[in-house]
Amino acid sequence: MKRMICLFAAAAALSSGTMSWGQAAAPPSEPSVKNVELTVYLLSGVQTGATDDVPSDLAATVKQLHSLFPYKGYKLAESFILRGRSAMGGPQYQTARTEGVLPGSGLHYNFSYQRVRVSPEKPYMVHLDNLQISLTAPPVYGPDGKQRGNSTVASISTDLDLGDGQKTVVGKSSINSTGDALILVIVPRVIE
Amino acid sequence: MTCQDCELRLAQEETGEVVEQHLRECAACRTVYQDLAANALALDALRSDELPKISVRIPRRRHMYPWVAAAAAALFALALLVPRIAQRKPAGSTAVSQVVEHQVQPTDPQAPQVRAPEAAKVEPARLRPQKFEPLKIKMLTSDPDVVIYWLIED
Repeated sequence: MKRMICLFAAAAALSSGTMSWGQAAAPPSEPSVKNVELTVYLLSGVQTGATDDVPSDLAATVKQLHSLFPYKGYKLAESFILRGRSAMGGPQYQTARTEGVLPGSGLHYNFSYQRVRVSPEKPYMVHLDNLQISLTAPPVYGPDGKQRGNSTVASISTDLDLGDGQKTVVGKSSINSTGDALILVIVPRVIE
Repeated sequence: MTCQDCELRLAQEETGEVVEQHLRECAACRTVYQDLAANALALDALRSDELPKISVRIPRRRHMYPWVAAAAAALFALALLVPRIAQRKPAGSTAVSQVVEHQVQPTDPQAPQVRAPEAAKVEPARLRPQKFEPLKIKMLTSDPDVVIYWLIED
């Protein structure tokens, strides 16, 4: 009985010569569930005040921000660690969420993502679906007891690809009348 | 070679042993390379597509012929004359209208009632709210360990 083996490979892979018979015959690896730890720093880029107030871990990041943006200083407002599990693929969502109050300003923050996925091979790439953070002011109630106005001060909503251990900055300008910026620094770590 | 250097070289369509070595080791840059290659193929495919033939009709300019003006004037005069002719009818003339009688059948309460089909209720099309995506700009930095995305909204 004759058997025919068909191999399909990208032209780039063939030209690079990295594909061997052993690799081609190996079964595709199942995506395994991994724990992903996100260290999140919430910074504000301010137009007034010339000093930075960030932890030493972020010195290199702030140096890059200074080289790109005209903000006078960068100040850490909050930091937290959020741990979640990667999705196996498919439509299921594994929302992770945390919230709190920013010290000093009294603003309420709400950080969440809908799903985290990790690439099967190293170096890992972490994909965050529907990453969101919103800053809301404390609610103001009228004499009738009803809440007045929209209390959302600033928000960020996006999908994001992050390298394992890489400091990824997501920012947005002019979140208030003085032109300050809302900046997230996210450092993912895939735990095996 | 850093990922940043590799992306710059790939964008300038430069290849070489160093780039290929980096592509073998870095999955992220390999993805970028594959995306660029796919884009190039798609552009090549577009180049071979024939453009659709479009026929353009230029409307002929219509001339106002003298007989059209004359016909319009005649119609206007006729419209003025017709009501006056109608008023000259003799006073004794009567108008007879045709009367049509309809027979109404009593309805049998046992008989099944057939209702006219109701018009299907058509709900107004609901517009699905579109997810607003801000413009996301990836900024190159001199530190390969720092990636910066900046969001721009209107």
